[in-house]
Amino acid sequence: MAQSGDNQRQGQLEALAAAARGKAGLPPVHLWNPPLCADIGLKIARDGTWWHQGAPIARPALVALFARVLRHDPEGYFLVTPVEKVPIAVEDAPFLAVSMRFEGDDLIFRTNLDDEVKADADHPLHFKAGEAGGLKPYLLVRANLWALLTRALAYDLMQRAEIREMNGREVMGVSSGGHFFVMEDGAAE
Amino acid sequence: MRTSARMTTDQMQDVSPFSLADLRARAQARLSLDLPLGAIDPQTRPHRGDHVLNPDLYADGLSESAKPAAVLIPIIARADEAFVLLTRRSLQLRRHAGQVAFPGGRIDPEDQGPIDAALREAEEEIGLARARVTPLGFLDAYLTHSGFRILPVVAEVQAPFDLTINRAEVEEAFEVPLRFLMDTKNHTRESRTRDGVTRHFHKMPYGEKNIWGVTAGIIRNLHERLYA
Repeated sequence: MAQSGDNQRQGQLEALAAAARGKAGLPPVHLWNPPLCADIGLKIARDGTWWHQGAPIARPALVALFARVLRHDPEGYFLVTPVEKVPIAVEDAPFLAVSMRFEGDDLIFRTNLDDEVKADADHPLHFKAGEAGGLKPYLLVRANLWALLTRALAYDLMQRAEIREMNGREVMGVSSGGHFFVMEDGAAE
Repeated sequence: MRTSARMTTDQMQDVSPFSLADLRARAQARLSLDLPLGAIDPQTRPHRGDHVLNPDLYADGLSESAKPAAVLIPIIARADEAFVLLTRRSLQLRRHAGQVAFPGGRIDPEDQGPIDAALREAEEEIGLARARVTPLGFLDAYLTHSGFRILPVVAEVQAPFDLTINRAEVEEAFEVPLRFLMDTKNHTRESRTRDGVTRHFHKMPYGEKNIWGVTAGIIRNLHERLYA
């Protein structure tokens, strides 16, 4: 029975993968409006790992494929193909920023899915209050899909903090891409 | 020895300690037009800068990559009192928009050194004619978090003079009494803390003019060098 359960689980993923496969580049998920499908137990954990019915999805290529069709709607996160819309639970943020480098005045991040993103007006940094009074920084990767910075990366980012004047008061933040990102809980700019 | 020399100067001139004549005498005694330590040598870290207030701020290497810049500290005599000319940066600028600053900027390869750069920038930003400006001496080189090695040039400006504000760079120019800026009661140190990281900065607001950060740090250095 365990064997057939595994097969069934695998079959679900493969079917979804087949539908998600397409041309190079990101598919136009924002244009697709398929019917909502049943929840098949997909989840992205806080550490950026992807799970299916309690088991990690071990194949990076499959995760990368699913990430291309991930969409964040007001009702939640979904994997979207032209023919189906499968809910996926996201514990914190769908992506994890795992490294950062400096290029002149710019900060360039790399995510766990190998996306390279420069923090700028289109890819803002956003700060939320963390558990122990700390700040959790997030980076917008694309269309309402954010990456949480690892704790180590958040620490490196804090070291770059500087004071700037915004609207007549001095605030702490970081600059990149010609933009200053204020380090305050909920500050969008 | 220095104290007695200063007293003599004050007695001779019998004027406000914040007159231009007094400042000129102090600058002659205490400042030099020779380049100060850490002015341009990338291997030498300046003794003044944001890193002094925030020792954890920099990894090694910032002073090596810092870009040389110069600012002009224009001092003007208005009756018996000296005034300092400051600007507020244009709101359209990418960097430090709307902030109070001295005229100045990067030292270009075409400039004949930092004094020439400071005079050129003052001409470009506020139309201050260099013929009316007499450099008195350098303050200490100031290393900024934003990656500049700033050389402040204290200079006397002969009034009257006209200014032409370049609106692309400067919002306005204004004068602040030297007496106010040199009074440590008006100097405060503030900080902001986020997630265990703290940044300190100097501040000396003059009415609605929010003088803080690098500019306030340079004014503190002027106080240390001439009036402390």
